[in-house]
Amino acid sequence: MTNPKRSLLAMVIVAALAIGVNIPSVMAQQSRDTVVFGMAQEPDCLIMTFCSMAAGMAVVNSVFADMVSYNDKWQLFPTTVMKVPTLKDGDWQLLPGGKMKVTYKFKKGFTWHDGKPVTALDASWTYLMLRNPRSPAVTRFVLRKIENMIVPNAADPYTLVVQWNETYPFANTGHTVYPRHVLEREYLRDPAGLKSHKQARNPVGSGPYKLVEWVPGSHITLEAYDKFPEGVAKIKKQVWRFILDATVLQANVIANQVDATEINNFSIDQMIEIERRNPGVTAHYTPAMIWEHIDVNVENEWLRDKRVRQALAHAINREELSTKLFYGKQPVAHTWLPERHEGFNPNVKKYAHDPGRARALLAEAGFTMGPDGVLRDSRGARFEITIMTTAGHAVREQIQQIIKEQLRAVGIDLRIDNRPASVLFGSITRLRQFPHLVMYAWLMSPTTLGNTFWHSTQVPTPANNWEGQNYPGFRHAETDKLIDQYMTEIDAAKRIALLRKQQEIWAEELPSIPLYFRLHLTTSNKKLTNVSPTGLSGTYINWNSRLWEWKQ
Amino acid sequence: MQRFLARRLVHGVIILIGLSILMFTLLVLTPGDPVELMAASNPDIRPEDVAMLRQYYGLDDAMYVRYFKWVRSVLKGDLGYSRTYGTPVTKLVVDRLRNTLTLLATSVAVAFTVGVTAGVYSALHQYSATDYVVTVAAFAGLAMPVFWQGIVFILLFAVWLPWFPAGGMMTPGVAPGWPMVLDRLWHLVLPVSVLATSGMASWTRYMRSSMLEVVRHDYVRTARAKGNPERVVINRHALRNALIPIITLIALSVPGILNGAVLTETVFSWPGMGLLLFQAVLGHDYNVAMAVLLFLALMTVIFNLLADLAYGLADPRIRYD
Repeated sequence: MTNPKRSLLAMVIVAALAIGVNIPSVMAQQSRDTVVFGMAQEPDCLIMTFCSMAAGMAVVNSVFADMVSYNDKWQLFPTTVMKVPTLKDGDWQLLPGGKMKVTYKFKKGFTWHDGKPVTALDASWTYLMLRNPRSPAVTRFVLRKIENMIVPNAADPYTLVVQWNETYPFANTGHTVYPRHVLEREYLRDPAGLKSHKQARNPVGSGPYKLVEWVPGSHITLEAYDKFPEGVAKIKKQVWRFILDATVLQANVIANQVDATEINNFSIDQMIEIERRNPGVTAHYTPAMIWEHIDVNVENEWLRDKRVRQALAHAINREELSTKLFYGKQPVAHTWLPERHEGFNPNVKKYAHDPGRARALLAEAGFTMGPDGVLRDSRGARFEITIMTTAGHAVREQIQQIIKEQLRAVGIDLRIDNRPASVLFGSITRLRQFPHLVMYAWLMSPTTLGNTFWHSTQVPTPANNWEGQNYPGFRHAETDKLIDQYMTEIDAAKRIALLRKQQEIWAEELPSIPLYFRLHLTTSNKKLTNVSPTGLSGTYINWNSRLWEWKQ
Repeated sequence: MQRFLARRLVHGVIILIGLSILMFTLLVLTPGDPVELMAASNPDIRPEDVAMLRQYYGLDDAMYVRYFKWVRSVLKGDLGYSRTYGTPVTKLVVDRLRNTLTLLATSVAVAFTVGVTAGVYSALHQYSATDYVVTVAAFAGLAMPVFWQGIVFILLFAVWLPWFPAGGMMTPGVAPGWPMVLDRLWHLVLPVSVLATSGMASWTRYMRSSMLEVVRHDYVRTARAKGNPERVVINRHALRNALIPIITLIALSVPGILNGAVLTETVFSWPGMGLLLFQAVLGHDYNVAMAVLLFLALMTVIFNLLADLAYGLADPRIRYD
């Protein structure tokens, strides 16, 4: 006779073995035709002009094919159109009155995932839809520069003409295109309701992968689109898992439970730990356009003197920050444009760590040393300044402590006053409420020209309804002139020359203290081939995932 | 009894109204709003875009107007739309509720089984080595913060010993049927272990002291004197009476475990109400955050009421007035 308790125990052991043994093998088998991405964010939606989260853009890179995209060399290449328009070829024309005309020819053969063709009619309709103030578009910055987008010949739905009402140097970077046949009915009924349209969460795309399911809070599954005209993706499935905690995501990478990560919130230390713990993972440290810096409030009575700002730069040991905190991987910044931007100027004035020079500059500016080792201004006031940043951002808080010590060595008493990111960016910077210094980063793209950062009209004030991002309050007539010139300069060489000149002036005036350029940090399994992150926001690790393959 | 119930229900409604005002005020007063978040991350947003978006999301109204609009739609059974997900909040919450209840029910069952067994064993072997081990383990379980324990468990059982998944609720693409059931169980092990720990620890302590008290009573001595085997004395006479206070304690503990689920779900990426609340608060998705917070408040009120009722039912000396 069998003992019922023993039978039950045996069943439990068998079940445990089944769980412990079978499931990992199921996962291993599936991973050969699947790539699992891990992200520390869940997208808010997948119609990116109505949404704000980078996670959505990363998934969209697989689901939608752009007219024109950036590759890993930061060069433009055509996807759904025949070529990138250029002035030389004549499909980008400058017209009298500062206007322009840009013509795109769509490739035949691209279809939406429901089988309908992708045409110029979709592009012109999308433009009209986004221009409508009732549609919930997040920004219309570029759209406002465009007078119209038309399909001039009804018999040729593959030719799109974009009529610009002002010159814009990046007019050939393509436009957003959505499927008219899917969205138009809802648009005509209620443009404001488009964000709730099923397209937002279950889009009919045009890219190499189509959406299969979105399990809220868990993952998105994509499947290779078998009619993608440039070639069907080599890996059959993509799974995008949302793991909000960076430490837990790191554990998943080490345990090989995700194959690649993007928007992962990893620190350099975490990347190094991943490399050390799992030799099967490649940690990608890609140069990016993320500029970490300290804005100086140049309207402050002490900080309006550029010698004081230069003294601050000399007092801070940025080389040491880069070496000690980032193992030399994140390079010191000397200007506001990163090295890979076309306008980067390597020959600007540089501020090496030199406490002696800092003290001399402060003495020139009228400061004298007080009995407590802190400088006094001409009226006898202690030189106390406040630095603000995002509370809870471990790296920035660490940097603040280092800077505090270094500034104390030249006689400046630095106070730390941090706020949550939503407060810092919601009001402190936007309404210019920081008394002296504020540390944060700008995320830039190849089309960033800094007009909103440095033009005097972009200093947010009540008079201009707080428009602009010139948070330091920098006003410089020659800089304004240069910005006005390069913002409409189509000739790349001339634009670059103007940008370089602007940076020379900027590095002399120093409205911000450049700290370092952050890297774009991603990981991928070493057995995945053709992975080549771009480091650009908007173009994520999966930009070419159609070509990825599992190495046998 | 009926008067007591009616009075407690009225109290419950007043508490919920008060809490809804408090929660709404706190959420709205939280610095920043969804449009400010969008503006902070996008250098191309201009003031006119911001104004248009604020109007679109109804952020222009005064706080009390927004509250009354929310109350009006809730009374009609409409919890509103999620700004983040673009779907009705009711659907979102119901979907997530299922996952949270799975986690919660499993954790309570595990905590109850282990806690009661360990407590009884500890009481019956008072001052033995096992009793000391159980006591130390119970105090350690009570002292460990959920988020810390979660990360430690992931490191131990998903990274160093790769036995369990480091988060998530399912393996995408797993075949339906038994493989899916096993897959869910496999994903449940770590979050349940973490979520059940504090309940397990406190119920062990309560069960131990309750049992120690009961075994000294005359009726237990009488049962022994009647010649009943020790197993019958313990199971039929001592355990049943010792369990009475524990049952009411469980009802009181459920809201606490539900709140613990917020952290556990966040650490383990378990797509339940807790993770939803975390994302909603970070993304200033007021409708979703209010719905989840209100649900948590409702559960607290209901389980407190159940605890009171259960206590009366279990102990005839309690009278409702």
